[in-house]
Amino acid sequence: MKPLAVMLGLVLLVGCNADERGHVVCLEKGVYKGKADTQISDATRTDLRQRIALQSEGPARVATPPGMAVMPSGEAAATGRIAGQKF
Amino acid sequence: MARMKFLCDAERCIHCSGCVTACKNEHEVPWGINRRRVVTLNDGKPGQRSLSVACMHCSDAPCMAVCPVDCFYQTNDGIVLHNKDLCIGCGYCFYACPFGAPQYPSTGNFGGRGKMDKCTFCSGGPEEDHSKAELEKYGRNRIAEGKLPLCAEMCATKALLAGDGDMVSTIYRERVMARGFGSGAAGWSHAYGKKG
Repeated sequence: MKPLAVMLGLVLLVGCNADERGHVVCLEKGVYKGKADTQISDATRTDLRQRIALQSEGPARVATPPGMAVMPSGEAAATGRIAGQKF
Repeated sequence: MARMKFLCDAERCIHCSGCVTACKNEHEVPWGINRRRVVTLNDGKPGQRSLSVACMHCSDAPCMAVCPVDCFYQTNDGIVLHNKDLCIGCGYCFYACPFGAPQYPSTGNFGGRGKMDKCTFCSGGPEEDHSKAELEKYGRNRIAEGKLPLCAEMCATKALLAGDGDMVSTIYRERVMARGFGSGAAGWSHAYGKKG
């Protein structure tokens, strides 16, 4: 009887471990029950858009017509390519 | 804003592994874990291609579907993140992921895998933005600073694109039109479905 009580005591003590505290023990299938994340602001989204546009710079842009906007338009024409250039 | 996506232009990737190094350095990823890696297809044969692969932050992420403790969540921008406090290191996500993205430090007792680690699209985790806890568990949060993932931002040939899916696909479409051929945006149909 005594060893059982000791073992039970040990099990309960493990529950006091700092790493084990605050664990989600009641789960619901398909539902995230952890800490909520902060969402990014609209100003940050605008910054991200500008950074994305920069990714179209580089060798591809060297071959685009001079009048073409820096922001990708999706309407790149075959004209303006250096003949035979492949990159 | 559309959902965030990665795209690797295999016609441009030169297998320099700059993206791998940038990722490891930025997030101080421990030895043995690679959130991003470069793989070679058709090695030594005609049509050899290199691709930079990490978590693609899938629209209908299989890792989320199989996780027994539901430690995954998706941000409003479509970034798939996970909570290391909830993760039990079971490895189901590793088997489900078509890109082999989940990584395990293998430091737990009795051969345990430890908490899963993967690419966060440089957006940290559920801890407070820019906190010490976030940095230690998930790495740096560049998205909150208005910056894109470092792997894509420092890609020398701009093979790796990251950001708003609409703009990424527009840039890629422009390139394909300009050069007259494409490599098919590897992994996109797997990650984001037929619509992209």
